[in-house]
Amino acid sequence: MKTYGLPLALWTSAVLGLVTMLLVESNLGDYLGLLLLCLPLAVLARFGLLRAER
Amino acid sequence: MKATTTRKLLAWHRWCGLIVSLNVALFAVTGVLLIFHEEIDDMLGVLPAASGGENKVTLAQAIEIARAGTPGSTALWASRDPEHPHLGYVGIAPAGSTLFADSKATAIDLTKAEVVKDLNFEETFSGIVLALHAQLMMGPPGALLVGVIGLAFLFSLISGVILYGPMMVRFRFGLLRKDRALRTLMGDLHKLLGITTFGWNLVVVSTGVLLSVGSMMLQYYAATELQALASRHGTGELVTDFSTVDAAVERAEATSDQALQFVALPGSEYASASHYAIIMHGKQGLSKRMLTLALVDARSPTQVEHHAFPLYLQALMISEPLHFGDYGGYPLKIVWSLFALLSLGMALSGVWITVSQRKQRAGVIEDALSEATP
Repeated sequence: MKTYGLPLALWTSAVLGLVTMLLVESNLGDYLGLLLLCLPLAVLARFGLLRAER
Repeated sequence: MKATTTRKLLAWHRWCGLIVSLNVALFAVTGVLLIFHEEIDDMLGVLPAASGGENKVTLAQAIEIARAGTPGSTALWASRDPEHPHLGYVGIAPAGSTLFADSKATAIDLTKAEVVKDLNFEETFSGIVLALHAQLMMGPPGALLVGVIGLAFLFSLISGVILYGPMMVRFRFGLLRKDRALRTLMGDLHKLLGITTFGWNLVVVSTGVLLSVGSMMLQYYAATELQALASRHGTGELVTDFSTVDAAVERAEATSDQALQFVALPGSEYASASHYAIIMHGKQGLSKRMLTLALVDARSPTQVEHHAFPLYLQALMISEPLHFGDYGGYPLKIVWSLFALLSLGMALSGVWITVSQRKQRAGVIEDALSEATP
């Protein structure tokens, strides 16, 4: 489960982001949705593409 | 998980991935182009600019103008363009055809009361890209093939996630071994891109699979529930005079908080012989995507019946925005493109790993054979 912890949080975040933007009819919904959707990309940049790690 | 199960699953993951990878690359590239299709169309000047005048013609007159442009044809549907209010569209099919698939959209400039010449949506850049993305340029059978590829991609994604656990159990998240062989680095990159974009891919691929069978779902609905609704009013004589269409649309809009999406004309596959099937959408938010049906008698357009679509069609409707990411303006379009490009990277790195492994294996066998040969 430890291996899947972070990925699971990222998938949930992406799906919640997509659905929030679609369902919540307000600017706040759009910002929140985008934030959740961008989280996997931000983590990807932070952990993977910018830093090599053993 | 047992080692043999892991090996089998890995083999399936590799083969499925290899088979769908080039298609996934194609879907990613064409998908990014489709995300920006409005901007591309505007840049290429596909639609004529508004002349500034007021609309001179009604929907009924637009249908007549389109019919007059192609004598002997049948009009199957009509709509107004909400983004370009000076334009209306009429679906024109060869005489005798009732199928929407046979129809071609004729654009009418409502301010000039004339057909927009030399405009064939299927031959525009976006039209060609869409045909490639949704049907691999093969028409309706191509859509089914896209669905099968989508299912194989779904299997590849899920098996990849299952394999990720045992493979990464000893390593930290985000591992990229840049000091090792290129294949090791590509393997790390493939796993990282795949696991990070999984949530987005799962939504986009599963909605894409649903959209690939969308026309079949619509045909099923037309042949069952819509048929039953229409038959409640008797078969009736076929109405070919559509002069009441504007009154019918006005009545349908007045009796609901919705606006016209398009109207299926009497005699078409989605309407009865004597009723307009008016497809309507809400005015904001999610309701804009969730269509409803209003059946209006074409002879006396005062009687309106509003109906909700069944759940499977509602699932189809919600799939479209979730697949194309066209509901959050530019920021969402850019994020969508990034995810698509990362998925392209995942697919190509997967192919690279498999091909390089096979090459290496072939090299080892060749070396062993040459050593064994006296």
